[in-house]
Amino acid sequence: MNARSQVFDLTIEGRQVDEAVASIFHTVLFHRCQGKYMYTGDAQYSIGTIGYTDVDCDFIDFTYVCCTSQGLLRTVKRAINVFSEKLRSNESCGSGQISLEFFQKRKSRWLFQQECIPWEVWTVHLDLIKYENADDRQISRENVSDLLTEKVIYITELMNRSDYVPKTPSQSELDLIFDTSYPDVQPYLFKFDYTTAGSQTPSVTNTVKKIIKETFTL
Amino acid sequence: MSGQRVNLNAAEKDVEKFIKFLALKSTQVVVQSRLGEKIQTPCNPLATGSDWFNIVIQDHPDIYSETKRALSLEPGQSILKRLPLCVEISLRTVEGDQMVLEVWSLDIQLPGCHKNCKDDICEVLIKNVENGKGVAMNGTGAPMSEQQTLKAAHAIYNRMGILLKSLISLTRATPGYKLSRRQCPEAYGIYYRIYVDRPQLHTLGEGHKNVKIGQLNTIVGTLSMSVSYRTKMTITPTTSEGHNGESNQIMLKSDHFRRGDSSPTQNLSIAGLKRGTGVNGEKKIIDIEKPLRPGAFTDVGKLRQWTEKDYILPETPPFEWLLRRPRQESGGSVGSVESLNKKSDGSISAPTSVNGPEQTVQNNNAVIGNKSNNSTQANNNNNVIAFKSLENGQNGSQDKSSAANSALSQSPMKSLLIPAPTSSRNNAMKNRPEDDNLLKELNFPFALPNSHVNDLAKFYRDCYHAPPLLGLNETQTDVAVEQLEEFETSLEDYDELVLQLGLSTSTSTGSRSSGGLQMSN
Repeated sequence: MNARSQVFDLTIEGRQVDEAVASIFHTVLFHRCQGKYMYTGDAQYSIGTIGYTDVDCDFIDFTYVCCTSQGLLRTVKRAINVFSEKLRSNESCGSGQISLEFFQKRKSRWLFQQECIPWEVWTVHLDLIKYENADDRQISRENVSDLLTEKVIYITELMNRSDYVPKTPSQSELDLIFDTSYPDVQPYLFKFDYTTAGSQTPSVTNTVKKIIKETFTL
Repeated sequence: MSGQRVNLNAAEKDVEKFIKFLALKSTQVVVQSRLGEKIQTPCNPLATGSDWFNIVIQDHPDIYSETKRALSLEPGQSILKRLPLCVEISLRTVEGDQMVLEVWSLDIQLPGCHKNCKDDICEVLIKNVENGKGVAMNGTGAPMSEQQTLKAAHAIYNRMGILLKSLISLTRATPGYKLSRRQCPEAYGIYYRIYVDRPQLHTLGEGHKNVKIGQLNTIVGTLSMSVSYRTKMTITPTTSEGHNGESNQIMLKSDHFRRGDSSPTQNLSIAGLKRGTGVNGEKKIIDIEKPLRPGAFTDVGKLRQWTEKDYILPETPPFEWLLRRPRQESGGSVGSVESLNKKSDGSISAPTSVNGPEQTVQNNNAVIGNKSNNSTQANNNNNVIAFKSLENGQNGSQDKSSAANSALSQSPMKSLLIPAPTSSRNNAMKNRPEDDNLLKELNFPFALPNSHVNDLAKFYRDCYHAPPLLGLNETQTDVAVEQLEEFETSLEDYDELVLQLGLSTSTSTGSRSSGGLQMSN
């Protein structure tokens, strides 16, 4: 199954990275969160309600909305922080991307591991830029705000299409679709992934490449 | 078959109920977001059933009652007939200037209504979005099992929830949100109006943006939610019909190369209109164009339009008319300055009667302003309207009525006198006493800032604004009158002097010559 994929390109200052990415991802997650399912029987359940919070950005002239869930906020913040630090580090050449991937699990069969199938991926590709003076910085602050407005409009447009989202399962299979670890909200299963130019995350392929290279140099 | 029909009716009723609550919650979301405060509502995992669409949106009683009033649903009446429902957000300055920022609307296209359908969307299908399958049927009543009906209703309910989330997210992204967060009683306030009508988008000015938040197909029709918002944040001064209603609608081309014999008459029309609305009332215009034939690059709009009244001599001492001749020679310039001064009000001195191109530039906005006022008034008759200050939301109906009154009755004279397109420039122009110069510069054809024609224009302008005439006002006229009176009272002395001189020339040439000799000595 092919996952839907959306890519947003942004050219921003290093200090704006966290907020820009958070505003996009939280808008997406707000739409992809449901109220907590409370089962009264196997087939019967009630759905909790979602609260929302306005978040003002410090480095961008922008306010976004996120679910009122400390747990979810922490998860998102931590993931973005790790990426942001890598992107802004000296090793980085100022370019990278972070993805929010929604997936569903398939039941594990006998010998095989549980399979994760992505169904929607939101990617933010970032290029860092530095401004020399305060005027440019102020202009950038407003420009990034306009850009984010466009992104939010685009996200809402996509969210209201009749696209595929996983079907609500029975109680026993709820964990295959939703992340039930949060006490207040129930988002679809999601994970973050990132890459930054100059500092790739260690993967099997990279490790194998590295071993082969080292072998040849010897 | 009858069972299925009952089923369908029940489903329709459900959907209508959902739509009603969607409308109620939407207005809450939009208006609350413009209160100027950050909002935080808590999650509630243990649902009580009171929160619609699984989103915690607290109901503001005022907004709720206003929405109810706007919808004015009678018991048993379908909400479908009371759509589109619009929420208009506007900004109003302390001076009374108003600007509509955005219009949020919830609309429905009923099946079988082909008037507004751009495509075949009227063949409404219910899609069970949740499982992605096309469990669907048309709105005319094709077979559908009870379970499917329930599923469809559930899917619609969920989709409405997503629509509402989109609305919550978008309300924070439009420019109106930032303005609402910065509102303060000293500068401006944000107001809302809920009405049942087609969205009045002309009030949003040129270049406004339309964003479709979402569209939802249901058995009762295609529900759509959208927002249109202003992109040019320029205050359009509100205009009152009584002062410039008709004159603003005339767009007069300023053709400076037109033959002199046709220009004055054309300008008379607009000037006449302006003056007709002024203190003097209607004037009969005298054609004295020959001595006033304007030269090239002359701003004919600035020429004094001589009227019958100008030739009625005032109750002043005799012989005053003798002094009018030199004024008449440079009458164009004098008239121009006078008319500007008369139109100016206190410190505001922008011309009103002679701003041809300026007026044309501003006219779009001004007309829009007019229309908005007109439509607002028209709407008062049809729909329940509430202008409410978001700052003083708790003040209740008193505030509302005063706000509504001020919106309709406040007619800033500034709208006539401020030709600048931007608010900052408005302020600048208010404080500048010599704004007429700026306007004149704009009126000269090809008068670009770096153009040589500009120099020529400046030269002509200087000629027409000779220093003694620039300062001509009521006080100077008084001085002239006083001088005349003085001259008149001492007329006898002058006569005596003349007589003496005459006598001296005829009788005593010797003494005179001696005097002359004395003087030469």
